[in-house]
Amino acid sequence: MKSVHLRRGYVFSRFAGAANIKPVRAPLPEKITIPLGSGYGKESPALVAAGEKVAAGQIIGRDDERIGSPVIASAAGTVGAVEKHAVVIETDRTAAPERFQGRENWETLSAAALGKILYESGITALGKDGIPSDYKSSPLAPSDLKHIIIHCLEDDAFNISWSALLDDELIRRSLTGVKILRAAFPSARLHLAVDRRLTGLRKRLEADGPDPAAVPVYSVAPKYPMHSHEVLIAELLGTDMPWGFTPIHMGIVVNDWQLLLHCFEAVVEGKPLIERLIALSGPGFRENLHVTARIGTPVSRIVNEYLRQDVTSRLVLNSPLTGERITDPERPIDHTFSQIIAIPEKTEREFLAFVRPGARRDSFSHTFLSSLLPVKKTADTNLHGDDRPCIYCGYCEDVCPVNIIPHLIYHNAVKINVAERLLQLKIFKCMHCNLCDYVCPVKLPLSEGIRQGQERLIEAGCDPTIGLQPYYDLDGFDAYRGKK
Amino acid sequence: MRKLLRALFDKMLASRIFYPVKPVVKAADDFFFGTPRVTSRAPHMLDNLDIKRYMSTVILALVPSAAASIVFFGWRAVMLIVVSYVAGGLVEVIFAVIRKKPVEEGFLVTGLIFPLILPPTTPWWVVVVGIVFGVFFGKEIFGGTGRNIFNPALVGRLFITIAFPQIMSTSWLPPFADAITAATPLMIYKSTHVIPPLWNLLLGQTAGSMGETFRLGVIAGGLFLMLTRVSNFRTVVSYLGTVAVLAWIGNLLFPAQVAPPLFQLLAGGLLFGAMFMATDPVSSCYTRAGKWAFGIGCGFFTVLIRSFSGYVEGVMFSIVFMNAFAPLIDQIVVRTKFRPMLKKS
Repeated sequence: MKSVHLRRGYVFSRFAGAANIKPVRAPLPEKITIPLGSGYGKESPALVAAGEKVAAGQIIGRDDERIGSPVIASAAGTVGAVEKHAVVIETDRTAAPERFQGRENWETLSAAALGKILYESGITALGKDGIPSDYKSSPLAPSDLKHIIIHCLEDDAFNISWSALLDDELIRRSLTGVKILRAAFPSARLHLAVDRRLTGLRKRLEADGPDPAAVPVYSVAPKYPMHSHEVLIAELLGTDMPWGFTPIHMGIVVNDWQLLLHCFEAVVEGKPLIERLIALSGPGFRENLHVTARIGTPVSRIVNEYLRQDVTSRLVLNSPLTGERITDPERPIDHTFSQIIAIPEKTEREFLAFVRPGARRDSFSHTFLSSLLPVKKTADTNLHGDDRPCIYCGYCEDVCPVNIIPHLIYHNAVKINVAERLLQLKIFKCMHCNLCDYVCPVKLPLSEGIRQGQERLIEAGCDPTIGLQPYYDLDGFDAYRGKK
Repeated sequence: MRKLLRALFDKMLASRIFYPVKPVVKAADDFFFGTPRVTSRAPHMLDNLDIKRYMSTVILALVPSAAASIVFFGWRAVMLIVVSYVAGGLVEVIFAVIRKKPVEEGFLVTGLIFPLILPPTTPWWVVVVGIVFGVFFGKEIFGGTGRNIFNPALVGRLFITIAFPQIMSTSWLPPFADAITAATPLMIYKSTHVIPPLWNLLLGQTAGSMGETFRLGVIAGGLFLMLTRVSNFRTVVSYLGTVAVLAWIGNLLFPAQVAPPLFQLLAGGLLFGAMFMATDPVSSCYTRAGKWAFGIGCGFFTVLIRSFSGYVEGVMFSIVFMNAFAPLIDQIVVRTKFRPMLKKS
């Protein structure tokens, strides 16, 4: 098993509020809203009309001519309304639990047949740019796919706790999922990146897993932002990703461990992608657990039961560092959800905050007691400090996973803004993992400044999709300035 | 009590009478109460370290030195520290009021370091002149903490060394002694080549600047700073390492001029300078390679000035000198690391 250790980056350890209970099933709401564009791809036109009866797993939106994947009804019921971007289904809560036709003999199926099953189950919409199939579910044809990277990492401050979830049954299912993926994409090489701390899974993969020569398994140190596709591709495959590229441009699909479970359910059990496993993490929840929720369930129906009442919490999708804020509690769950984090909003002005011992405070520096004590750390949304000019402490450079100097690029982008200088400092290498923002003691918005610099460069004529590194053609700039 | 203070600050910030000194009120308010602001975009949570804690960690690391100076030299040391804080703080506050910018925390460190690098019997008015010059010309005219080129405490020290050479070279005092001027170990070595027992140097039984004599405390504070990541080990290791290596080589080649390495490391202000002043993040290099180069340069000039010049101590000169070169070193490192773009031909 190859060991992978990111040189820079940051280890988020011991945060209170990790989801650690076996999944519970969220109750089926009266009304589910299924977005017509769920996951990767264009919105599909609805195939159903208001008043029609639908079964769970039925395809209610499909367009094989445009890039995208079918939309699946996640519960049985009557179509209430077909809105512009979504289908509302009034669920039939008296119906018996749906049964799906399993396939005992899936191993005899061809790659094309497996691809069809994955497409019609809606699984091909998963991931940053979909999973290739013969039906335009992704910009790439399945035969052009070179690598599939599946990661099982707990490197963020809050994650789906695979360590708590993966029991024998789930590991068995995911091993079958590995077989399915290999059968469905015979041309692609599968890579499994497994967190170093998940010893149970790693042992099972060594014992019963696929041949390590064909499917390499990597033991990965849990350093943020290891799970991001830029870092995974660079560390596992050794190829740098030009800025503006997505993995699919390079014939690579990166996805998390849930894909394997979805593949097992779709192919072996015949159950399309109608449910997502969602971790409720963060100190804003009374109880931190994993919830299996139907796609289309409003966020509020899942979280309200478990939210703490004594604090107001901010709901963040998937990652506390890069995730977006969930402002609309009625937003339906879709394919992109894997975790909802509740971080308490702390607007109260803490008395003498900077001299407290800080046994439960996280910091990149070791100036808090928490670096000595094995105590769970808390998280909140407070800035924890005032804005000051940069003091060149070098923390941002120390943690930067792509080896650039964030504070230097920030100053150049915000104050000086000379295109050649920005390009020389490799501004387009930044992938916005936001780690520099996190560690900055003077609370500079480094990542945002770099983003502005990138946008200004693109406006000025840099084509982000051709990959500007390693050398930028200055002729283009001279022409832009009217010299030629 | 807390609520009362909160209400008081709210009143003062809202009232018109205090408007001219608003930065001062704001600074006091921020000192007692953390910020109420929350993150507006991703990342939604931030590191708990702020500039106040960063600077107070340095002050915490200076506590052994400051305490030793008070034990060794009595109330005089307290008086000098207070004078330095008051005079320097006044400059900082005046500038904050004029610039309508918040009072910056970097001064808390400068105000404490400055008296600690002075001879114990320095008259108080010299301290005032030094700190005012240091804060004004070393920091404020560049735009405050974060934008200064030189370490403000060293600028002040340099100024009074040159302006009052008589006072600055005869005010040395051995610990627990009153009014008996003595020579520092480096002075003694320069004239007679006598090396005091190294234990006396470590425990502070020799004459020297107030904060630098108790070297065990300096080492402990410096290690604490490096372990908390507030100061960078690269500068310290390369500075001390260069001094040791050059002193060893120099001692073999020119035994008449260059002192042996262990004595060089422990004598004078080298440890204090390397641990607390060369590592100042603002005025030293920010690139990693630059930090190594910065330390090597400091070490080279320290040994050079100590051995081959009229001055007995070279730490202050070498750090200020290298401060001036820090931006250049950084520029060279950045240009080597990130090659300038080439035209396609």
